[in-house]
Amino acid sequence: MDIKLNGITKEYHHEDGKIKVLNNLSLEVPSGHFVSVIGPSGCGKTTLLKLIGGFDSDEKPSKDIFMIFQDSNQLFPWRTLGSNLSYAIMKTNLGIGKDKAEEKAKAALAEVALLDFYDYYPHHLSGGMKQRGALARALAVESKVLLMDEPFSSLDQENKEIAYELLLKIWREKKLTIIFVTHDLEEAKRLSGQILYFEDLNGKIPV
Amino acid sequence: MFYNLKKNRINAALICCLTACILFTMFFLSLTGCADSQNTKEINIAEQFGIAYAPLQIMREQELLEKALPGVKINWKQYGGPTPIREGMLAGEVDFGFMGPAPALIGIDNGMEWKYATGISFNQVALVTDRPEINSLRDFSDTDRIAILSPGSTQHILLCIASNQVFGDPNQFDNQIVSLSHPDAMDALIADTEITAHFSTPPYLDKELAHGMKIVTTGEEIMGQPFTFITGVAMERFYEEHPEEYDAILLALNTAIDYINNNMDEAVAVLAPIYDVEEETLKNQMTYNGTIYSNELTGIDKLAEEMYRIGVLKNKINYHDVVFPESRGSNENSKKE
Amino acid sequence: MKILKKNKEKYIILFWIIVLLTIWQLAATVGGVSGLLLPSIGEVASTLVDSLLHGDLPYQIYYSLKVILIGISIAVFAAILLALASQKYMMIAGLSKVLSGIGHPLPALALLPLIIIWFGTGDASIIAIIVHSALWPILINLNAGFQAVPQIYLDIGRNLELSPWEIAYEIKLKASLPYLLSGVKIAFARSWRALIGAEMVFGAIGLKGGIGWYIFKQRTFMNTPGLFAGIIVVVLIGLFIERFLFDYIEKRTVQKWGQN
Repeated sequence: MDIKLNGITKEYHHEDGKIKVLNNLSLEVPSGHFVSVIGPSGCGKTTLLKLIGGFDSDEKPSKDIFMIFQDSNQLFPWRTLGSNLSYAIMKTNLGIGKDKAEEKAKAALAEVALLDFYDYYPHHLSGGMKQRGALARALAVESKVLLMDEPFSSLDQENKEIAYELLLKIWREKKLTIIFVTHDLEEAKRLSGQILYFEDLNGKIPV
Repeated sequence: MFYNLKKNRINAALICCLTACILFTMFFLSLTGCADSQNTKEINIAEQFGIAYAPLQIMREQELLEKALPGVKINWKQYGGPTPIREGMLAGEVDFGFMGPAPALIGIDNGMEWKYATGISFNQVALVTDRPEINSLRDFSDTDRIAILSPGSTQHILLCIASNQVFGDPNQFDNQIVSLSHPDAMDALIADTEITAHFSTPPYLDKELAHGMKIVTTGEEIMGQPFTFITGVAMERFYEEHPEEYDAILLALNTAIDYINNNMDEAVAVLAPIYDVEEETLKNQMTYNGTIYSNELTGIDKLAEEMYRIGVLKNKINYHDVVFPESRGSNENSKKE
Repeated sequence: MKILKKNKEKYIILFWIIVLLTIWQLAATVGGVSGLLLPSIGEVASTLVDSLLHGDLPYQIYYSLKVILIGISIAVFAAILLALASQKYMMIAGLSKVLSGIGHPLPALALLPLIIIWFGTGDASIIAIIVHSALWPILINLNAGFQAVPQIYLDIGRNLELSPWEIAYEIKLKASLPYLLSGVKIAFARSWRALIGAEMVFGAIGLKGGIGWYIFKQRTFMNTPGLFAGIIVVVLIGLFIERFLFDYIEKRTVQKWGQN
């Protein structure tokens, strides 16, 4: 799935006036590519992702473009890890039976090495595990595009490495389109050869 | 470390003991030696609202008691029923209270150290209903609800006595009573609700009758004789320790009663604004058939006998023992002097 | 370490209960306090047993518990409906606010004579009183819960293409469960109080009335041990519901989910 944005401007009203968060931004990401977008925190990267994902007010997000948020608490705390996934599967795959959904959920968890934690509630999992769980959810619903908003920023180095390996492996195997936003240049380089600087996107160059 | 452990244990023990002592003392103090009006020369009188208590209103308006006892502070306290008056007297906050005869007997039966001092008024008390097909207690069905002041009030007791007379069971209607004040009961009766009967007194009684309600039975029918409706009771301690004040109260009461009986029109004029009723209406109510202002104590032993019979009183009560000596003479039923 | 502390706490509580009971018994027997003010523990206990075995008390306890259960269930149901509808329709949200504003500060007992005149003295009126006492705190808390639902869950819901109803039920309601429970606790306390007070007036509703009527009759007939017995029953029931019912529900839900 290709992602194309052309000359998008997004303004927020602030006490001191209007702030142009996205200023005539253009972006094109061909299908199957892994693109890192780098920029300092707070510059509008999240806004960009939300725009792409369709979270902007009246738009309707689709399960094919799945957002992985920065907050490690994005699994529903009132469901077990497995239940979170099977619920997501049943809601996006209408008509699928409960058993089949559980099967798929287990398969997705196996991909992120969390199968043993199927019956665990999210609050018993570490931050890294929860983010992997969120990733598994995206896999479970068979999204084509992942929008990742600094998902590993709160992990320690060791867990980050594990997460990077996992993400890259999944990207290759599933041929996903991934837009990965971060403020950490090392992380950006580690993950992708295609690094976009947010300031460059904003205002001028179609890439 | 051991030193700290020991110190902590001692501290803990000390704190426990101290707290226990404080609690005990607080508790003790709050229960014993309550409001003692001895030193401050105050009298606390409990009254209720209604024209049956009119002599008390006259006493207040004309300051009869204040004039008879200069230097003594008279506190008038108004209560919504006999039960809180009884509790107030138990707590020592009230010296002299006015209520129907039945709650007074229940108090005595349970150890209240008070006695009857006087009567104030006779009133017609009647069970009225909004269902025309009811002629006697037998005609009530399970779904009829009967409004009374509260369980243990004189009306409730009369209902139990009557029920015993008719059914042999004093508790026949116990699951059908509703506790409501007279004005609320009257409203509920008139509004055609589940409440189909009310043991009522004037001025509510006459209003209900004017609305077409029907009398099923009256207190006098049940008792077989007229009886004092509102009595005055005094704590024995008050009687013994403050004879001057006790006598003054009775004297002032008699004066007020005489005043009403001899100067009805003036009394009505004084009372009408207090009761917020038109003078003519009030006069009708106060001269209503069966409303008599008098200090006579009548029917106490008959009532005690009936209450014992239906099991409300655990002990037999002798009229002689529960009325202060000077007040006994006014009871026509007394044979045991 | 945590378990040790919990045990210590239990012993301390037990200790104080025994101290208070001892003070009570001492005051009633050798302390010279009149039996009319403070009956001995023995008298109260024997009256309680007598009322349970030979009196109407078991039925009355059952009745009071039954009506409060029904009333609170209705209140929870109504509150959820109102709160969900308020999320969708601004008109209902406004109505809900106005009604809460009027209803919440109004004690049910103040309305008692009116309720009797309008609705009579049957089960319906008693349940109406309970619902009135319970609905507003639950509704207010639930609305607060809805306001506080983390946006991220809502976004995930949209990402999963959930319908507005699914978002309301799966996300908003479940995320607000701690608030709902807190509201129900408050509601129970308020409606229990209103119930006991109303029962004192209503008389023998149901068949033989409730605990409030039991207590009232003890009082008017000057049966002080019976009065104490009734009060103890009320206290014990309150404790039981707090400890066993609410704590149990919390353990199975918000605690399990890490939401406290």
